[in-house]
Amino acid sequence: MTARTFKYVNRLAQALSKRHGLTLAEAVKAADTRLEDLRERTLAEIDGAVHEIQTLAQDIRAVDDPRVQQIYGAANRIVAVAGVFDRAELGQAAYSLCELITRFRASGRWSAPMVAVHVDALQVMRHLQDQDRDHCQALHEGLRQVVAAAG
Amino acid sequence: MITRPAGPDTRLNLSKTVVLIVQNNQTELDILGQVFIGFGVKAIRKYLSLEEAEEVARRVDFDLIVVDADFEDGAGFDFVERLRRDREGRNRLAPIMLVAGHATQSAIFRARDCGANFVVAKPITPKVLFDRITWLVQDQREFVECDTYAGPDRRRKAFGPPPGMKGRRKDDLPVEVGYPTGPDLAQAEIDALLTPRKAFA
Repeated sequence: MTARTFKYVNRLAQALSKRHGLTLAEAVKAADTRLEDLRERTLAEIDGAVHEIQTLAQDIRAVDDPRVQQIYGAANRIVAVAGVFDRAELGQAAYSLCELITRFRASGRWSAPMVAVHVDALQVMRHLQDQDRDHCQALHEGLRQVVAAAG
Repeated sequence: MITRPAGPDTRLNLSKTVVLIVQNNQTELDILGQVFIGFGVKAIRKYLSLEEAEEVARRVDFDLIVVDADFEDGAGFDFVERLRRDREGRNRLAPIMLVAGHATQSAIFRARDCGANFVVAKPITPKVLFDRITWLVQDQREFVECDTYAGPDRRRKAFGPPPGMKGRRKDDLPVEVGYPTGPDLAQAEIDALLTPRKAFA
């Protein structure tokens, strides 16, 4: 098998500018201003996703239940947006839930208590403020141990 | 290869950049759209449907394409692959950034092999996005086409082919060093190569 390689023009290269355009700090500030319009709506959607996960997880008994995919999808939506609005800890907890589900799928088992711990953590972290970083750290450590125990 | 511009003074002028964003939900589409507007981009095409995005990609030249890796059944990867494989396509060589949430190992391999320039983990904050665009701006990797892959060279650094394998690219050097063609260098000559000033002081 042979590979053909060739150089090509990077269309974005012309964006690099010495005098015009925005620095990182200027661009981030401008983008953050634009994002403010979406903050409340997105945080409300995150609340909705946490609630959806809680409701769906209540009486699942096996990993092949179709609602497991819905939980995974809702958690992945939180992963995508929480960190954009200063809820990085919440996003990490949602990521942990996604990872837990992936491991359940690989092993074929399902543990409702392990999922419940994640749901509780999501609910707590949704309302934590910056001063509760130590609290979040402790919660994450607990979630890490739960995921590790899942195999 | 990629050279990352150093320092916070690097400026990007994205006012004339044409961007295509394809996401699998409205919230993420809106967030990315607002971030790009903040970055000064004026021409943004946003789609929730890969089919609609593919249709517009046949008609419009994009300077940057951002694709969600979280479409069901790896449809986002297939979309990127089709763009790269279409030899007559307008956007075959366009910079493509895949954005991915939680991913299984198989999805990570597919993301690597579908032909995107970069895979970026969500959440895509403004800082992360600007940083990755800065990388893309400086991306000078060659384009590679073979039976199993079409896209930017996946090697970030040229270490040559793996041991025991013959290189498939023109610039791959042979693994065998070969026999010397002249006498060994004297220590002073080696010193002169490594630290010229010290050797001749």
